[in-house]
Amino acid sequence: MNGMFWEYVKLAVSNFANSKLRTALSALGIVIGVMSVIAITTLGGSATNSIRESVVDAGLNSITVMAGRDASTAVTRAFDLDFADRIAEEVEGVAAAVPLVSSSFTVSHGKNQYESVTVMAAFPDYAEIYKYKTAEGTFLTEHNEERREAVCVLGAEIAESLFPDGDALGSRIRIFRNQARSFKVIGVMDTMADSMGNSFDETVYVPMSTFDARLQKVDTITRYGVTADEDADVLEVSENLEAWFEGLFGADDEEVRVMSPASMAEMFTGITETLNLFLSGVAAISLIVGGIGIMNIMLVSVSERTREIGIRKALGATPRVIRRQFLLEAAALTTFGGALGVLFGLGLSAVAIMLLGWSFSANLFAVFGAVAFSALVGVFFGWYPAARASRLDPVAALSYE
Amino acid sequence: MKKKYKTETTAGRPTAANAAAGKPEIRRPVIETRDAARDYVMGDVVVRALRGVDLKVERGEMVSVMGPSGSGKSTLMNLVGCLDTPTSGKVFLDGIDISSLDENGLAAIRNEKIGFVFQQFNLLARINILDNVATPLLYSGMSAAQRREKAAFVLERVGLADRMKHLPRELSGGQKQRAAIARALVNDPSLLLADEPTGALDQETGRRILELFTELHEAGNTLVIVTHDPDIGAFAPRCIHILDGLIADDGMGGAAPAGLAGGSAGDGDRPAAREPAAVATAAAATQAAGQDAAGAAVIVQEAGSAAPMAQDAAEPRTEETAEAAGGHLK
Repeated sequence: MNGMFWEYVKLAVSNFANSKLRTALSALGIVIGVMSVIAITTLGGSATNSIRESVVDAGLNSITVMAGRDASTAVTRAFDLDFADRIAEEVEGVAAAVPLVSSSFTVSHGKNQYESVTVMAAFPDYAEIYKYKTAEGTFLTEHNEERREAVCVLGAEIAESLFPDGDALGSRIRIFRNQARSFKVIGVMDTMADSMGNSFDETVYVPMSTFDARLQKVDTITRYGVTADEDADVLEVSENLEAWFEGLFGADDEEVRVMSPASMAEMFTGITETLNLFLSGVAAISLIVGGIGIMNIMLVSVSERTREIGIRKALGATPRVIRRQFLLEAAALTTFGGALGVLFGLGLSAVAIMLLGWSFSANLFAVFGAVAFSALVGVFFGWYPAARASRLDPVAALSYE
Repeated sequence: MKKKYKTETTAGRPTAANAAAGKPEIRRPVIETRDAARDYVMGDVVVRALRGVDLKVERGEMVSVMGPSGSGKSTLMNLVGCLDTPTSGKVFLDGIDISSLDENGLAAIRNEKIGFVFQQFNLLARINILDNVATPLLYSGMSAAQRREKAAFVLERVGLADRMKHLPRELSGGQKQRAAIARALVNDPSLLLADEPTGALDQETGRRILELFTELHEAGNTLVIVTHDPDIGAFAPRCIHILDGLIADDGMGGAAPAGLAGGSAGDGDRPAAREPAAVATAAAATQAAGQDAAGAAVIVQEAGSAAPMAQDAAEPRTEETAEAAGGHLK
């Protein structure tokens, strides 16, 4: 290869430079095809990554168990306060389980009054299970629970709303039902990201016994919070739970639903993968259409340059050399289109990702794969025009006007 | 590059390589055709463009091939230039039988042994003069640096040292033809084959190109110039007239029979080589008859049959001339 390769690349580039508009138009199909492939894979990858990140933020090892919408009486009867302990004891890989009991109330302090604030009845181990840290004071204690004390702990945001001056600790707030009840604030929590429908920061926590006695009777429980052992696979524990509930209440999985950030991430990943596959198919079709465009333009080019081919043959170019020249030209054209498509695709998805607030992560495999594939498209669709060029009769080609 | 053809190496016949190395040689013609014929099939009609030509061109000769449009001279040029192969008969180039070669073999011969000069220059429009001249070397597998060096050297010889980086369209007609001649010379070919080399040039420029050809001839190159212009024919020591697919006259010093020369001149303003020879053959016959050259046609037939004899009588070249041919531009 005495530099013939580069000679041809040089030649191809100068040909493109001579007809910029035509080159751009003929490469457009490839550009769009590659652009969509890159945009799709980049967006899909970034979406998956963002979901994973939020899962990590939320605590990968937490699982929520809910009574299904059409749960039978067997379930509603079984779901009581002590059922959480049973889950923790009997299901493999479960570290702890707590009942999640909450309701909406109007909450006020002085002139600051808010409606529809979630008040949760919590046992003292709630904070520990969810690795929920206190910023000031303490979380609810066994002592509070036993004595049904009228105390509460505030989430970061509701504390900020009720006490803009930051003087929450030791103050009293009112929680309204039929009549206002006064609760002493004994702790304010650190901020923590939402997870599984729990808006930690916007919730007021009161002892389970106090909630039952003063706010609302705790008779049926619909949700339990479950945490997996540190070293356990959350998805596996979820499966254990599902199997355990199935054994308890029968085969109908509508009875009890088991949800974890991990399983939801899994589901999202599945969705984006399916979407990727589908859209990649669409992109592949557009690449094929682009390839046909290349074949067309190469056929035009070969007939336009018949005389050049004749001259080259007269100077000693073998059919193979002519074929190689045109193949390389087609491949250079599609590779150029592919590279342009990668740039546009990355740019487009970068803008979209910025607007969506995800974190950008390009798929290098897709980037290089797309460029390599466009080169292949050029070779494939350039083959016929190149073969035609190589078969031209030198005498006829030389006298072609 | 691997050679795609076999050099004939019968006893006593040295290879081209040996000859170039200056070893004692028994001379071999650069061109030898034996009863070479070329037919074209046009639908149901078979047009006999060349009807059995015996021709020998020795090393160091300068030969003009003349004939009106459609006489078959373009066909002969295509055969001698290895762009085409004969329907019957043999064509040897440097002793190599090209009739039996495939496309790759023909391409290799063209690359190595023949330098073409065309009427329309046929430079590649998109690359500069240096790259144009270096193109044959690209196909013979030379490295880029060597290609450039050699092309620059040849361009200097034809007086275009200061135009190397120009595109063909930036050159005058005469300069383009010089560049084309440089390209033809760059591979040290056995044969320079020029097809109406002055046809697209004004008279003065054309004369300078012919002078360059004469210089190249004197330097030992073998030249065949295909033309319909008797003035150019006069430049060559040996002038072959083709008519109706046969050699009509193979004389020295452009001494064509008066009738023939007139007939050719009458056809003069048409670029004969551009036309497909096949279509033109019938037209030429009509033309010859129409241009009060009925007598010439008779002469043609007689001369045609006498051609092989005239050729046999051709003066043998001296050893010195042959060596000069081998030494040129090497």
